[in-house]
Amino acid sequence: MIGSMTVDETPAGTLVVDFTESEYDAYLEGEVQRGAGLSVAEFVQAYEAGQLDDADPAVSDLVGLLRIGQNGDRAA
Amino acid sequence: MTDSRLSLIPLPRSTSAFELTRLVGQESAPLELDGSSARLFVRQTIEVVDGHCQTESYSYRLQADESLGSWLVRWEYHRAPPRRDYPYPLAHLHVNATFEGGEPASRLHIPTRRVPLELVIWHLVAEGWVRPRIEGWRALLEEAIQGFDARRRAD
Repeated sequence: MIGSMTVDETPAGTLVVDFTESEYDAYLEGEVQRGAGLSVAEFVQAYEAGQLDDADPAVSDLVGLLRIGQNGDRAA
Repeated sequence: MTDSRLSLIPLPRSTSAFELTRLVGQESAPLELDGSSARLFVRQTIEVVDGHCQTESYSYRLQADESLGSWLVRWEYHRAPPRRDYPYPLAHLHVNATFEGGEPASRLHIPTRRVPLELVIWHLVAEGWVRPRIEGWRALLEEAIQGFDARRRAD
């Protein structure tokens, strides 16, 4: 246990990590900063403006992590 | 094939969305692979819809070492286009290679079908990137892949 983050385990042995909202926000900020050198807000804005390179190894991963576009229409 | 463990992270502002990755402290990290200095980075986002798990995105990345810059092969998928003008196949592969003329092949989004993680692991074992821990690894992976295919047919 780190801070108020809790760690449990499923019967199959997968760890289940429960972050609070603020911990998860900090986690996302850390991931995006480490991968792209931007804040989450900067990354989303730059990606949606077409300013980031879809071929960059960090970009596609972070787009998935931030669920950009995933709450809209589903692909056919 | 590894002592590294994946973590399931329920997204705090959602009742149905999860992330799956390896966490070291509070950062994602690639999986270590037995018998190799290579690493496999895994990240999936998952949404539970009508009682079953739907993969929203995945990023599977074979790396020569811990660093992102050492990536060799990437399998990527988004269920929906992340931007209106996103032109690429939603499931695709990148290979960190160069064409004979010197042009980078790594920028190509080579189309694939959706790839289960088990098939990536099969590739890593078959090509010698990782040493399996059990003799029956292939049957185990085949069973998991059949389950993946059955779930896709039911979608």
